[in-house]
Amino acid sequence: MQLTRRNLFKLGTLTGAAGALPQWAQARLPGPFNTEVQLSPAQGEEHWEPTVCRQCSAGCGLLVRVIAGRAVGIKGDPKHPISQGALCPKGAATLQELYHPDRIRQPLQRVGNRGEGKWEPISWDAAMEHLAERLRTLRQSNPSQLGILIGPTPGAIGTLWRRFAAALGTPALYEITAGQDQLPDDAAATMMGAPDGITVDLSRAEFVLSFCDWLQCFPSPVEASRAYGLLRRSRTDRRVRIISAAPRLSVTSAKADEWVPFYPGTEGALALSLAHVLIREKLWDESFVHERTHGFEEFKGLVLHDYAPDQTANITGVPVETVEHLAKEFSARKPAVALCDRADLLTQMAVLALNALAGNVGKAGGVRSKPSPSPVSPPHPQAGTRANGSPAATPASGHPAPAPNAGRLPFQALLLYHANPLFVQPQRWRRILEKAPFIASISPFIDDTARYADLVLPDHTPLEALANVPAYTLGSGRVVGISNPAVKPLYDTRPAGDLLLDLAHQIGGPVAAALPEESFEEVVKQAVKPIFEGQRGSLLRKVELEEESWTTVSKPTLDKWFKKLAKAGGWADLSAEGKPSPPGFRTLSGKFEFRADVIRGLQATPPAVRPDYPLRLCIYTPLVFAGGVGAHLPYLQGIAGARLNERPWETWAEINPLTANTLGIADGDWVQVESPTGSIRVRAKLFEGAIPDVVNIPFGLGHTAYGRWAAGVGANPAEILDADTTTGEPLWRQTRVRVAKAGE
Amino acid sequence: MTTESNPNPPPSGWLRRAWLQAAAATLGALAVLRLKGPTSAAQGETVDPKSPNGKLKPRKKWGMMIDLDRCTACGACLVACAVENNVPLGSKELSEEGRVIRWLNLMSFTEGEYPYTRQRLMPIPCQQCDQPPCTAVCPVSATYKNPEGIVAQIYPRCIGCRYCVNACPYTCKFFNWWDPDFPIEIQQGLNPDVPIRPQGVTEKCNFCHHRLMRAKEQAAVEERDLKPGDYVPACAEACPAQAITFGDLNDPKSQMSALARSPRLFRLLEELGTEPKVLYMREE
Repeated sequence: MQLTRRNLFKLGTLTGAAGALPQWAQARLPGPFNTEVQLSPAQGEEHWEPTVCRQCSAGCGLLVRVIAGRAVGIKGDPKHPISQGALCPKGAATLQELYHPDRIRQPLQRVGNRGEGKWEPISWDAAMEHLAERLRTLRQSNPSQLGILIGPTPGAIGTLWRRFAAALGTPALYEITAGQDQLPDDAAATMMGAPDGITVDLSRAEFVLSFCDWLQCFPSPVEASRAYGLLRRSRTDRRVRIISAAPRLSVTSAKADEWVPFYPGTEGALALSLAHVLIREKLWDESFVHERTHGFEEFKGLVLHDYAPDQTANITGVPVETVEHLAKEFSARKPAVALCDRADLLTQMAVLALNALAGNVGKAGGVRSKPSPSPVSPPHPQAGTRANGSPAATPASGHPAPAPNAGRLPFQALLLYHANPLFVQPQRWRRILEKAPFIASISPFIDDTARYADLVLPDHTPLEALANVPAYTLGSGRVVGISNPAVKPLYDTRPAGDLLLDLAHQIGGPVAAALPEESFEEVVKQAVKPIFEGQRGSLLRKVELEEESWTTVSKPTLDKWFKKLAKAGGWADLSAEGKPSPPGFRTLSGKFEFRADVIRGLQATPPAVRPDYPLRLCIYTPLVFAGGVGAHLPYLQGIAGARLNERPWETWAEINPLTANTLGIADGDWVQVESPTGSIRVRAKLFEGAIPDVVNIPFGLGHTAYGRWAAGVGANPAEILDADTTTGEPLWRQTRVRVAKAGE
Repeated sequence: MTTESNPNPPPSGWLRRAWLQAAAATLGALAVLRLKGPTSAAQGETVDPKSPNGKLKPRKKWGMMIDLDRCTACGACLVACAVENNVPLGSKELSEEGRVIRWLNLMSFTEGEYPYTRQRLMPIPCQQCDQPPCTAVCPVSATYKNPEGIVAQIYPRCIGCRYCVNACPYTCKFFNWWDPDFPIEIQQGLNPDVPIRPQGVTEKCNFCHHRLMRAKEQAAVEERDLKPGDYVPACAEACPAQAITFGDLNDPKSQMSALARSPRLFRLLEELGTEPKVLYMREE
């Protein structure tokens, strides 16, 4: 272009116009057409591979649509008894995890400062040798200084980690869970002698009283939703009534016939006050209690003395009349079921006691022990001894989790597997991690904790690796799903199971001897062997192996059967569905035990009222972020706040309009939520479903790492949890806060 | 000479004959239909050339029923829809601008004051109106109602005027203000049956129309009619509560038609006369 006056003028106008635009629009001025899809669509023959969803541990069956080696679609496995062809949002988003652009593609070694996020690639051989050397020396000096932190790991991989820890000689194996609703089923062990936990036969119940947001968690959200549909519409004459007691208008409360608000963390007291009314008004199931329970008199004494509705009213905030009417409704229909999530032990025990009072234990439409895979096991020893019943980190062998303020150096080395303690329990683990001289993380992503590691070993994502996932249907059917690799590994990653076996082999000595299997497939095969031998149940679908034909009739072998099992996607035994469980409980008395002695020790003391922190904090986990996982997938981020018409991609705090008014906060304002231990900045959402003086904040956002879609989005309420002064446990349901308007 | 090399060839001898024959056949068919009386092609019936005896069969009219008394607002349908239809991923920035695209949305209505708060949650796809306000305003016929009642969008024809986006009373049409940002890794997992929409065009739910085409092809290969269940959109397939039923509203024997007689039935903004083919059943 010639530099003339006219052209110069034109240029000036153009740049001037662009300059007048706001910043975001300038960045967005139409550039080159970037939808030009670099990859052509997958073409070729289509194939649906059966596998198991591992976005949570519910074990729903999936079918993955594979074309030309690429996974291009997903649906629920119609043959799988838990998912029955359906999905939940997390399962539906699984492909985004497989093809996430920020997956780790080879082993990484830290080069910058800790947590700085500077890495250099390292070969698998070097990485494994480095790690094996570390563990070998540690095993010889002081193996208990090795901490192993694993995420929820169903199936053979969990067992393998336990064996690995035992072989190394460390008792410090912790399962890191989100901490508020994923605690062990201790009440079932204590009261029913069911160490594997319980199932709640929801869809056969005639009345449901819920103390948790079960539609968003219970144990498979897919099955919970199906049960809800059946409760509402499968009876010809009427729909089953559902009452939801909850510290906020949860999804379950919105769908229930009645919402009973109570203060966060007081569901145990509320359930026991219900028990009080049931006993006082003689509304309990006499024959069941007399014939099949033990310790009722003591329980009766405790509840009548300590849990009258007028005594609990100022703890729970539930008026006396409401408790009385709840108790009456609960006893009017049979079978009536009360349910809670795996919350603190008092809640679990109180709710289980309600079911026993209603005579709804061990029956169809009620609470049952999970049928144990092993035919006989001894009575469960004294349980319920865990401090306050809420170990957020579950020690595998009763080894207490170290207090974060431990003066001594607790660990020389930490090994993490799919665990993100810096996100789910940051205050508890941050100082321990800071002090550990060596941290290695096995994970497909650089999450908040892996970012802090010295060595990162990339694991396959679930759609690339083999696993077995045992699960139970709500009706106590047993399922073992086989998670088949649907696609070939995309990157230079290794499945954690094989990695562990390899590591044990390299460490050598007794560790190698304790884990002698050639491959993880062999471990899985051994894990499912009892099913093969048991000759019960059936494969999920009829399959034929290519090598089999009508001419060769041979004896079934484990190898052959396993191939069939994998091809079928799993196995199920649904013979217990809809039937009462065998009489008797595996407790010392052989009966259901009320265990008033344990309950007495757990009596809820409401947190001290502090005038400087006048509000209560209620942290909840939306389904898309169940287990604290999910923010890394954009489709999940996008729908997290849909239910409140809340804009996605940020953390909000639900505040009752009355409370907001007194604080001078308007809808959409940025507010600072502050507890004695910290403060986060969130968006205020005025919501009539929030109890006045309670602030509800969703958990799942606020990652410091974990890929481009999670890092730096929102705030993490786990950062401001108060901790129990003696145990160091984060107080998920008892923290108090204050809220103030924040600057833009 | 082939028609491909020249899009507008002067009708030469054989081609003209073919044209005339085709025209005559069509006229003849129409005449036959007319003679058959009031149930004419114009009123929604058609001759299926493959059906035995050339019997008249009602044209399909696809509809969806969402039973709010089963729906648990879990959001599986929202994500399944996005995955199936290669819907743009969204981002914090787009969300702040209010330009997130979601073909299927969860809408909530909170009513009453604490403690008597109630909340209604409804998944809202394109309502597939039988009298769609959006097609009427499209200057280029990019959006139209197809013979089986699906309100479709032809992306290459769309000029991005956004008239239809504004005309839709249900806010179920979405304009691509920017090109979708699919990282190359994510592109590996995109559904090959569905095109990606570029900047400047409007997109919307089309009842997973590509699934209908597949189902029809499959049925044609097997020389049979479409069976109920052959064609199900991704949202209905994913729904864990079995809240979404999909089927032919013109088939009096379908489950869909049975449900459409329920006293719990309602349609969104019925008073506008849009006649949505997405039907709802209220909670009881």
